[in-house]
Amino acid sequence: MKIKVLLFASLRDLVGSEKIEVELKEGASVKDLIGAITAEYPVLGERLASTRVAVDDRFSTESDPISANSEVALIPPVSGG
Amino acid sequence: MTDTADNILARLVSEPIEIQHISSWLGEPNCGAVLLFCGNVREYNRGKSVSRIDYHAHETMALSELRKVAHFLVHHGATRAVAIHRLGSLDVSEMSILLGIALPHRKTGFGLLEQGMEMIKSTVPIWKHEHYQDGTVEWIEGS
Repeated sequence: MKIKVLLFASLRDLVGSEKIEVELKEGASVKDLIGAITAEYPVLGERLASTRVAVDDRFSTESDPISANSEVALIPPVSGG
Repeated sequence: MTDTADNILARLVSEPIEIQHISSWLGEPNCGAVLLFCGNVREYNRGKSVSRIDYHAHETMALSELRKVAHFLVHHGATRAVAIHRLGSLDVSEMSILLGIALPHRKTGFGLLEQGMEMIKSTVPIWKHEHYQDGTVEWIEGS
């Protein structure tokens, strides 16, 4: 399944786009997603250690499942306020 | 974008935050204390002179997280709570955030408001894109 991943802040600048797409197997988890992004977008590599993954507007854990219609976002350290 | 319940108000806005209106909304007959925190764009940051800040957000999630903060505040003693963040381009001294609570008494409110701000600083997906007088631009990302 193809998953669209929203990017924000400096991650957008690094990739040059507001979103990326990665291919995952059915039943994939957030950990699988991170692995796929690391492999396909090495420019994000080091940054992923400090980046959280949000699925359907909630911060996720590595074991959380991802489905084809999940809205996924990479959330670098926030700076609102 | 707005999210309201009877006793909480969470908003992302693109226009200046109307502090007087919000302060009035917070006021309740049984509340002797209304505490407001206003965050403004600072003129200097990281040793540079700031010209403006563009605030970007994952909007649906940011509103959801602001709502969680407001809920936290009412679950920990506030009678009413407001969490409003402005997005878009703000000049120096403009207000970017308003966090407010109303309570029967003031004492527990100060610490509670600080807890709310700490939550916002760590969980609400909003980022500063800071523009400097020297023409440079930098994403500010927390740690």
